[in-house]
Amino acid sequence: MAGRLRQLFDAAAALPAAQRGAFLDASCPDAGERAELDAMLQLGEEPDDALRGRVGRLAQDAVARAGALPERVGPYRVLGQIGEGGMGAVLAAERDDGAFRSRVAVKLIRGLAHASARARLERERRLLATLEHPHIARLLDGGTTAGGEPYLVMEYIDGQMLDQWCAARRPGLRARLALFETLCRAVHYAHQRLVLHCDLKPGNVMVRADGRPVLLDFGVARLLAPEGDATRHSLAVTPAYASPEQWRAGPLTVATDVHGLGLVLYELLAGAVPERDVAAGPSDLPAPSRVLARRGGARAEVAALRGDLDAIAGRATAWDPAQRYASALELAADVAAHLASRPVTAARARWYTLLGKFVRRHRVPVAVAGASALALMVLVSWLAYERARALRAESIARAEVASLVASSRYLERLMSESPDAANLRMGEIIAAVRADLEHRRDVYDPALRARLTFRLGVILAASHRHAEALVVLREARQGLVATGGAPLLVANVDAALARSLNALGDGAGAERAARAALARFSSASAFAEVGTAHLELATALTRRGAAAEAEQEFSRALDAVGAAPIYRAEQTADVYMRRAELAQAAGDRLGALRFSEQAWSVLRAALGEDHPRTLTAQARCRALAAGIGAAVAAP
Amino acid sequence: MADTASDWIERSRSGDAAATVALDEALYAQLKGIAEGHVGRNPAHSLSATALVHEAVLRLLGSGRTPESRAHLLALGALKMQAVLVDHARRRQADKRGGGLAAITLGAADDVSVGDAQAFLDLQVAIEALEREDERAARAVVHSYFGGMSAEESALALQVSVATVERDLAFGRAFLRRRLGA
Repeated sequence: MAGRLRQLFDAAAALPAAQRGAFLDASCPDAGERAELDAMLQLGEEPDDALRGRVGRLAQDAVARAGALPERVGPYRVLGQIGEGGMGAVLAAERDDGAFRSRVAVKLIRGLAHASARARLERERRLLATLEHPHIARLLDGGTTAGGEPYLVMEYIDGQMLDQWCAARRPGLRARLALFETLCRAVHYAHQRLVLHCDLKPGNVMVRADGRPVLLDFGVARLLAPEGDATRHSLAVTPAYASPEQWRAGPLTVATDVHGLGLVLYELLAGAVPERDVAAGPSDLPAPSRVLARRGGARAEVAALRGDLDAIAGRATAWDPAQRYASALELAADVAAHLASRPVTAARARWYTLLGKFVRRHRVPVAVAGASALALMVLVSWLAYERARALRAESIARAEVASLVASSRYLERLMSESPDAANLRMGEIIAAVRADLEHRRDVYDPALRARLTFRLGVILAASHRHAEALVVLREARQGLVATGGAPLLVANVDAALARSLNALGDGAGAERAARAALARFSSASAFAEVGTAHLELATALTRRGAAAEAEQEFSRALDAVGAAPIYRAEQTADVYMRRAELAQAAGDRLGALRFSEQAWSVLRAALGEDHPRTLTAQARCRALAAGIGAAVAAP
Repeated sequence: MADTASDWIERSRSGDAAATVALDEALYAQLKGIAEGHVGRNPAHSLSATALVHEAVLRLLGSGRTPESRAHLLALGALKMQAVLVDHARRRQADKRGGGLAAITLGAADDVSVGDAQAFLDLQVAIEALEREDERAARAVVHSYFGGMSAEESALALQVSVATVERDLAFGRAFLRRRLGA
């Protein structure tokens, strides 16, 4: 809404010069205001070279002096530059006040123009200065340079960055894990004092010469957040290491730091931190063992990571903050448990938190599985299986909708438009998204629209509404290609298309889509969709009788789903279940039994004896075995 | 690089602050790199603020992206340039008081007086006043002065019509000149 001055100015400027005087006489009872407008109207006509010149001269000077270091910052004498951080240069400096000399690290903060932001920085800095811990670099001082630039003074750590230390010292796995546990406890100490780090990453960990690790920049990202936004997303963080909730503007909590610690664990275990393709939707990082194997790690080292350590890293970096460790201390405890060869909580908690809530709400009819009638048992087992799938679909739908926020704050708006938003069921979410995409056809940028359409397609397919999904996914694909969408995204759409086409019985179409998807995935793509593409291709191949090639694709599907730290068992079981369905459709009941048993054993090992999905698979095996027994017994 | 950048731009355009921060970082790195590369090669040859921003955007974006994403990135670049120059001007002022940058001799650069820093900071204060009076007009002025953006580019970035940007600029110019007596 334009102010009065602006409104009068626009109205007068639109008039021929000769009529402006009369207009101002009529509109401005105040003589001062009239004079102001009169002057502005005249000035507005003339060129503004003088103003542009001020910018130009200063820019020239800035270019000429680019890279020059200040000699002093406050009372500190600058010795040299240590690095160029996210917020500004980091300098090595020393305080030289006669009595003693001490070396410090000075962080210059640029781009903090407003006085209020500076005042707040000063307030929060004093709070952070109270953080005293042997494994946290102390914030010693701070101030404003003569030029008005704020700076922070931190303890100077004489040591190596974490990755350099690992490369130089080659510490054993136990030593690395012990170091990590120490870091977790230091983070927990800060959390107990209500300070979040918010930018935990390998680059913020140093190791002193004596092997003691130190965390740098504690709370600094948060310190620099805009006023009133300190718990939200707009922090000065490093994008490659941002947690999913930082990307999708969710609230930052202890879980954000747990995620950061998880990334540090990746660096320690695998020597690298994989990047999450946040744009492609909810995804888990490939397991550390996988990352290490890809980097050519020795077989024994890779094997040592499989199991517990993969699970711990997977849980620490889970997409959904609620599925991560509840505290840094819990993470430390799990690492300690692994070191002491006690069972870790990560493996159990993985499925439990995922499914527990739903199971408590809907008593899955698996309890009926003891029913004697064979027919009833088969029916019930499929019913339960479908339910379990549906509940996964629901969690996928929620995650999908959540990820929409990443691109558009979309849900917030949908929510604000529907009166009973919190209770939206999946079908209603679908309807709302559809209606929205239709109504705002001309409003959305085509690329964003294509991406939203893709999400809608994924939700439809997860709800087994494949015919509708097909139409929507095709539209999404067209839109993505037309707007030059990322190849990975197009590949994800193709994988989804293959699934729906197979479900609708179009094997040839599914094969084309799956092959198109696989052609786009790189060897480094490790998320669910790669497994989906292989599985759908294998299905289509089986149906057209190309058994040998299908076999190859099934095993590739298993490899691909094995790379995802979460849902691994479930997806592996999905592959076996699909094979069981195909075998049964081909009249191969023995094969169907064999594959169902494999699904059962995978689920039993991963989810436990009495998990609904395990029981479902078990019931299915019994039903098939009984059927075969009956057939053999028949004359 | 170009692919990642266009992805960030898309997210940033739809209001994702983390993506905006990422772009801001990338733009700063480019601006700094270009400026430092320029030093010592041909210091007498001037490199304008707007040319710097355009060069940084070009390096980040490559060619062939949509006009909307280019305009968005230019707008971020203009804002960044403004922030960089404000910091620089403050440091130069500190020079005058004897507590700031190490004195370096760089030929033509010596001709730039600390008075220029003061004049620039006066302009900055006026732009902040304009921001309080009419925020969008201030944005349009920043686009034009610091990013060398055309009215068409500014209109794409602000998601308003070209005629609106032209009115914004007329008002903004008049406001600034009235305040500064320039």
